[in-house]
This record gives sequence, C-alpha cells and structure tokens, in this order.
Amino acid sequence: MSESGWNTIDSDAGVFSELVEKIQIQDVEINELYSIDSDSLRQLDPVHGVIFLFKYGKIDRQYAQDGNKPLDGVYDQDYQEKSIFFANQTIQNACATQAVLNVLLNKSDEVVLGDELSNFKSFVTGFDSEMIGEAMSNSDLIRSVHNSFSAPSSFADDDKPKPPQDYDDKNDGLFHFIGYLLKDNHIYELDGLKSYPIKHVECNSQEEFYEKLPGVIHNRISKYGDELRFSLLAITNNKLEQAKKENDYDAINTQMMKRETWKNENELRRHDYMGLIVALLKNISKDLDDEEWKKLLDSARSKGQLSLLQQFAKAQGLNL
Amino acid sequence: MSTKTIRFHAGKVQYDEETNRCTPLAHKGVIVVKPSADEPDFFDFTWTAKSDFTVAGNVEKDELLLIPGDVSFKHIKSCTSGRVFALTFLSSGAKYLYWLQDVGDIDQLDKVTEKDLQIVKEINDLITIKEDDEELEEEDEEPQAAEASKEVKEEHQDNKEEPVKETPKLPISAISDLLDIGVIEKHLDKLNPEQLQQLYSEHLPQSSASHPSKSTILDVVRSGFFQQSEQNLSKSLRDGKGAGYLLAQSLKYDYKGEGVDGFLAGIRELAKKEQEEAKSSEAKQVEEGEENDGQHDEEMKD
Repeated sequence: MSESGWNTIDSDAGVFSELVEKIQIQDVEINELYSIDSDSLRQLDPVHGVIFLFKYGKIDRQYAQDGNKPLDGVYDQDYQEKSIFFANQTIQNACATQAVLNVLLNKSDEVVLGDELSNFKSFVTGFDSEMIGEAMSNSDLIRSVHNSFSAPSSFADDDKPKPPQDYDDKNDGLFHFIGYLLKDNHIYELDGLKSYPIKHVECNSQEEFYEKLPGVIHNRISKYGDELRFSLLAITNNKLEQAKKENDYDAINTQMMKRETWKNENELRRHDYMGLIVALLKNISKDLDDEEWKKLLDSARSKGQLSLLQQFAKAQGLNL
Repeated sequence: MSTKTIRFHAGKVQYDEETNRCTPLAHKGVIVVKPSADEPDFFDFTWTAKSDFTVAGNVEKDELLLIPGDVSFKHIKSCTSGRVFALTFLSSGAKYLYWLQDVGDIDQLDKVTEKDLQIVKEINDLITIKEDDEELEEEDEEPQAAEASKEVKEEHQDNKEEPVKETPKLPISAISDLLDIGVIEKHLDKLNPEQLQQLYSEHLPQSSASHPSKSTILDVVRSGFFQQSEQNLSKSLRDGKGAGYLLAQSLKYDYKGEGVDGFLAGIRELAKKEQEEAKSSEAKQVEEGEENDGQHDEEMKD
C-alpha cells in the first residue's frame, strides 16, 4: 500500500469515534442516529453537527454538471468573512473523514481541537477551500490515523480502475458524506464536492437546530425518490464521560458496553485474516485423505455451479 | 533474475478453434522476450510483424505477460511443413502458435535447428520455476519411492504431450464454498483446547488469541470482517492477475496456476509436506528412544 494513499474505511460510529480521539480532538464521539427527528437529536445533546451519508446518485451528478449548484439551500460565497471553515474534498476515500473534520473545525468554540488540528487550522486560515482540502489530504497525522482503520489487504488495490462517469445508480459504488451544523445563526451544509458552504434556514439556538434540522434533511432525502440508502451520524460529546460526571450508573454501563463493542469491532476490522484462512484450510486438509479432499473440492465446485445457475435464472427472469 | 533479452524471427500461426486448423501467416515477424519493466519476476513477450510490403494486410501485434510456472513453450511435432511452437498459458488455457523463420533445413522443413533448440531452451529456462529444494528432498527418500515418483512424473509428462483428455471442470469460485461454517465446525470439534491454542492462537485478533475456544474462533469466522477478507482473497485469485503466483511465493508452495483451485492445491501440498515433516521428526524421536509424551494414542498400546 503506498505511503501517500488514502484507503477506503468503513463509515461506522465506532471508527469515527476512535478516529477523532486519535486526531486528539477532546471529548467528542460519533453516535449513530436511527431516526431523523428532533427528539432523537435532543437525547444526544450536545450535538455539534450531523453527518449525512447517502448514495451519490443521478440527481447529484446532474446538479454537479449544471454549474455545481446546490440541490437545496443557497451558496454562501462570503463564508470566509463569517469565519466558516470549509475544505473541498480532494480524495474520494477520505470523504467521511473530511466531512467530520469540516464540521469540527467550525466548532473550536465548543470543542477542544487539540494541538495538531489547531495548528492545522491556523496554518490554512486564508487559504481557499480547494487548497485547504489539499492541505488536509497531505496531513500525515490525519492520513495515518484514517488509514489505520482500513482492512489490511495482501494485494494493494491502488490500481483499481476508476468507475466510469455514468456509474449505474443501482451499483453499490459511491457513497458521499456531508455535514450539517449550526453556524452564524443558520443551518449550514458543508459538502466537500460543492463550491461553497450552503446556507439553509435561519437558526438561533441549539434547541432550534434540533427542531429545524430534521426538516432540512427530509427535504434533501425527498430529492432521491425511492432511494433508501441513507445513514446519519451525530457528532456529540463523549457520552461515557458525561455519564460519569452525572454519576448515572445505568448510563455508565450502557456507554461502557458501547465502547467495548466499538473496540472489539475495530480490532476485528484491523485484523489480517490471511493467516487464519490459510491455517484453517491447511488444518482441515490435514484431516482428510486424498479421496475426502477431492470430495470437498467437488462439493465446493458444485456450490459455485449452483449459484452460477441461480444468477443465470435471475438474469433470465428479469429479461422476460 | 535474468536480465537478458531473447530475440528471434518468427511468424504467427492462426489457429481456428472450431475447425482445429492451423494457418501460418506469411508475415515476417520478431519475437522479443525480456524481463517485465513493472515486475522483474515476470516477462514481457511480444510478437511484432516486420513492415513487409510483400504480404497484404496487417497483423496485430501480440503482447503477453509470461508468469514463470504458468506458461509452456513447446515444439508441435505433428506439424511437418515448418517448425511450429506453441506458447500455452496453463491457468487460462490460451494458446499462441508461432513458426520459426530463421533459416532452416530446406529439404526437411520441420527439422529443428541447433539455433532453434538454443532459443527454446533459453525461453524454457526463464519460464520454469527452479525446484532445487524439492529435488534435494526427493534424493533423501528411499530409492524405491523415488523411482515410483519418477515414473509418475514421466507418465504425467506423456499425458501433457497429448491434448488434455479430461473434461474441463468449472473452477471453484469462492474459498467460502469450501471453507463453510459446517466444515470449520467439524474440524474444530476434533481439537482439544491445547491444540486450538497451538494451531490458531497466532492467527486470531488479539483479544481472543490467548485462550481460543471453538466458539471464539467461530465468532471470528462468522464476522463480516473475516468474510470480507475471504471474499477479497477469492476475488483476487479469480481475477487471475498474478495473485495466485504471489501467494505461492509468500506461502512457499509450487505455483499451480491462478484461481481458487490453484491456491487450494497449493495449500494441500503445504499440508502434506508439514505432515511428512511431522512424521519424520516423530520417527526420529522414537528412534532416539525418547519418551513419547502420550499425545498419540497409537504409541500407548499398553
């Protein structure tokens, strides 16, 4: 895997929570939002921002080609005067990480960013959004932390051909991440593929943010017709620390369990299974004589044959 | 690794799969074999037509990548009107025929010249994986066994000369078709805790590595991460772009072609080798009169 590359990582609350922690952002974690309503947001208060994950579809490409206009809301070209931080997305694989950072770098009044990111922020102040994106993708710390979450692979997939431009919607190809946050008395959308931050409704308090954000997101979702592949992540404070401060033992237990699950999943995610696959195959092979081994190979062959036939039948069925 | 470039004159022979007819093309051409720029262990093979105005029509150039162990370059003896050689890819079965165009024997068109033999030898040196280790091992074996294996080898080679008689089999498409939960469970059932630890501890994620049980191993195997990794491996092998070769190199078995089949055959070879080694070291221990620690029931007759 090349040193300078960014690998694909899973978009999972556990991954991003560990990621922001490792980038030294303090007292921040990411929680999955299961429904888009004000109550769910309020329960997670304080919510610094929300990451919206969706399948990049035909309509997004149409708007992108039509002067890269926003699907909803209006461009705010004077964002820099309002000290809104905005970085363009320069690498596909890092889009989630970049979306999270876009939100958090706007929240230095609520969140302790840590030395590394604070330095980064003052370094890029005054840059245009593209240069900031470029600088972000060149940051060794951000990249190495990001990459530490990718599944190890024996075969580097750097040379994979890029999907064609008119990539089929049904194909599980590109997912895109955008951030929503409260800034300068408005709900802003930060989409690294757009030219500027996008201004939505006026919003004067955190409570108003919880009330109005679901509407903004519903508007967005309504543009995608019957597409159902969405996911929402809330960027919040560290809920375990909060529970400890409040001496809420039930909550401490729940949060500890959540962190335990994250830890286990991240461990499984990082593990290289090549050795285990080889060991299992080898040891199973040792249990069997030539005849039995051949039988096992043949049964695997016929399983493949069966699924091939099923695929064929399915394809035929669709054509009829 | 050889850095040398082999270059000789040859024409192309068109092969029609339906009629089995071979038609030599009159174009003059050159074959160049040289180490690949991207991957020094592989070789670029190109056939280019010389610009030749005596023959009508253009012939496309052949550009092939030779992976040692995956290709053979052989004289087609049945062709008597010229010296035709076949370049065959073992993993894909693709075949390319060429006729040698350096001056030969005018009376006997199919007579292979000294120079031809030299060329063929040079190419075969490049595309054969050296098996020094194995030869040494074979010498250690009892003479009878060695003889027998030689015979088997010879028979095997004879078969190769003729067109393959076996009906081709559908390749295995995924490792999981063989390595399914049922098979794994059955295998793990046979092992005691010590054996589980000895065999699997080093291959498991850290938190389950210290005292692996059947259920912790099954949990890992059932996880999406394991399955994804297994699917990626199967896909790399199916793509046939050298993943099988790289695996053979890193796991140290003799390359058996791309695809899941080749990989599994390699694993089988490794398993057998390890078993042989275990047996011979066991035999040695018994010879030296050492007490067997009772792991093996057969040794404990009384």
